[in-house]
Order: sequence, then structure tokens, then C-alpha cells
Amino acid sequence: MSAELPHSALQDLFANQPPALFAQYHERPVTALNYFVSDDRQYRGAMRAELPIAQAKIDAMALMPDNWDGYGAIRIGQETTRNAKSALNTLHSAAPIPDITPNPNGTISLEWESTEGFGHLEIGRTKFSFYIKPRSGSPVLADGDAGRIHADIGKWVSKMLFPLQHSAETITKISFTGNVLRTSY
Amino acid sequence: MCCELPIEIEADEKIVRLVRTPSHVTKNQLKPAAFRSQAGLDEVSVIRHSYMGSDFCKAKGKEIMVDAYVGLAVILAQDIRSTSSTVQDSREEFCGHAHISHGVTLPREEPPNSEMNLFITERCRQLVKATRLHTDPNPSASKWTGPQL
Repeated sequence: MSAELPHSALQDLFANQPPALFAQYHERPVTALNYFVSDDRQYRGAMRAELPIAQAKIDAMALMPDNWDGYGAIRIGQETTRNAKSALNTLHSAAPIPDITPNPNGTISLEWESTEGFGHLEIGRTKFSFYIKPRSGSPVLADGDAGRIHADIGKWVSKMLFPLQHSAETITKISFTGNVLRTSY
Repeated sequence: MCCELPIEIEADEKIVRLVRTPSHVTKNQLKPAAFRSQAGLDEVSVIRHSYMGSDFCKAKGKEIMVDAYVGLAVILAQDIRSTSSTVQDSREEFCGHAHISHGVTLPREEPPNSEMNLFITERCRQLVKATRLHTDPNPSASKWTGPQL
């Protein structure tokens, strides 16, 4: 018996897919951007594997002692750490993983930058503040409870800084010939 | 000890901000946080490089930041002032020390509101754009061995 799956196995696999899923993937190629998006498939999110790495970075920041910068910086507190990790968890399905920076005043900054502009979410013990400064147009501002950072922040980041451009983004094309899955790179 | 530097900082003076990892740099680029002050103060510590030189700056970097020291970021006094921030001698810390001030003090363990966040972060980004980062090619050496600043 051959170690390789016969083509018929793939055909079976395909035949058992829910029609809606089949139609969705059949209708357009899988791309780097639309493969890792949120449920509504309109926003560019992060790869799942990036999330624990980013959260570990925040955990490492929480271990830094007082005066971690040599200029009297405040250590990153437990509440701030928890809020920042929770924010990452909420935002990662809609927005790319940000650059994460501890601040001397004891807060954590999440930053996104693209040719479209710059976004900054600063998280503290009880509050957050957020802005996006687009390359053109007025900035978007938001403030709120650090324990309840809404996924809309991630959607704004994606929409304003990392807009999907379907025409030029295909990296991997998956096509079907006679119900057999073939992938080309 | 008497500090014989002029108190006035001239427009063409080179000013150095000591750079540490990971909070000041990402992918070999300076972050806006490199120009943020600690809570309750409006003072970003810098050194008057034109008078003190690269070896002095590096020695201070290793003294203050120990293993986290990664290099020196250089900006002209006039480029700091062009953003409307100020740079003033503060020799009470040590001879050659100066402070950059943005006109804002940040709260402890909380972010400023979004308008102030926009103001202070964009100010720091302006300063980053005017700054040249020199990563130390040999941080363990006692003297600066990188290019002339």
C-alpha cells in the first residue's frame, strides 16, 4: 500500500466540506492577508503563533525592577501587565501584532506603523488612551477603561493603517482542478 | 568640582541621548519612548557631546544602563528646539548633563489622555526623525570604537 494518500482521499475530503466553505475558498485565492483575518474576513489580523510571543514580551517587562532604565523609571505593575495582555488577546484577530514598549512612567505602549500612518495605544493600571495619526486627514482619538479595550480599536488600526488591497497581495495561490487541491508558490 | 562649560547651549551643539535595549530601540531603529520622561517630571536626560565627547558618553551609558546600554543617539540642539521642545544645561547632575523638556508631565502608571498622548508621542517621533542612532559596535570596550558622531 502506498504511503501517499491517493487522490481519491483528497476528493473525499473535499466532498465532505460544507458547501459554504468550499464556495468561499473556491471563489478567491488564499492570500497572506486574508488567511489570518477575523471572523468577518475584513481585517488583517496577526498569526496565532505571534500572540504568545508578544505576551511573553509583556511578562518579561513586568519583571523589570524599579529604575529599569537607569533614570528612575517605574516598574510595570501587575494590573498594567494584565490589561496589556488582555488587549493583545482582544486585538490580535483584527490587527497585526504591535511593537510593544515599556514606558518610564509605568505604562505599556502598543504601536503600529505603516506607510498609511501611526497608531499608539498606551495602557496603564486603570485607563488607556489611543490615537491613530493617518498620513492625511484628522487623527482618531479614544480613551477608556484599560480592562475593557474593545476590538474596534484593532479594526480601526487595520482599516486605517493596513488596508486590504486585494489586487496586489496574492502570495500563495490555491486552485482546484477536478476537485484535487494543488498549491503553487 | 568646577564645570567650565558655557551654560548656554548653542544651536549647533551635538546632544546625545544614551540608548538602551529593548525600550529605546526596535529593529535597529529608535523608538519614540527614547525621548519620554519619567512620571511627574519633564526632564529627558542628555549629554552635551560637543564638549564631553563619545568616550565620556559611552562611559556614562555603561554606568547608568549597565548591560542594557546599546549605543548613542545624536541630535543637534537646533533640531530639538525646532520641535518647540527645549534643551537646557543641568550641571547639577554632572558636568555636561542637560535636559530636554517637552512642556508636559506624565502621570504615574497611567497614560495621558488621548489628546496629550497624541501631542507627546508625535513630539517624540519628531525628535526621533531628527536623531541619528549609532549602535555601539563593541559595547564591552571601555572606549567608543564606532564612527565619529
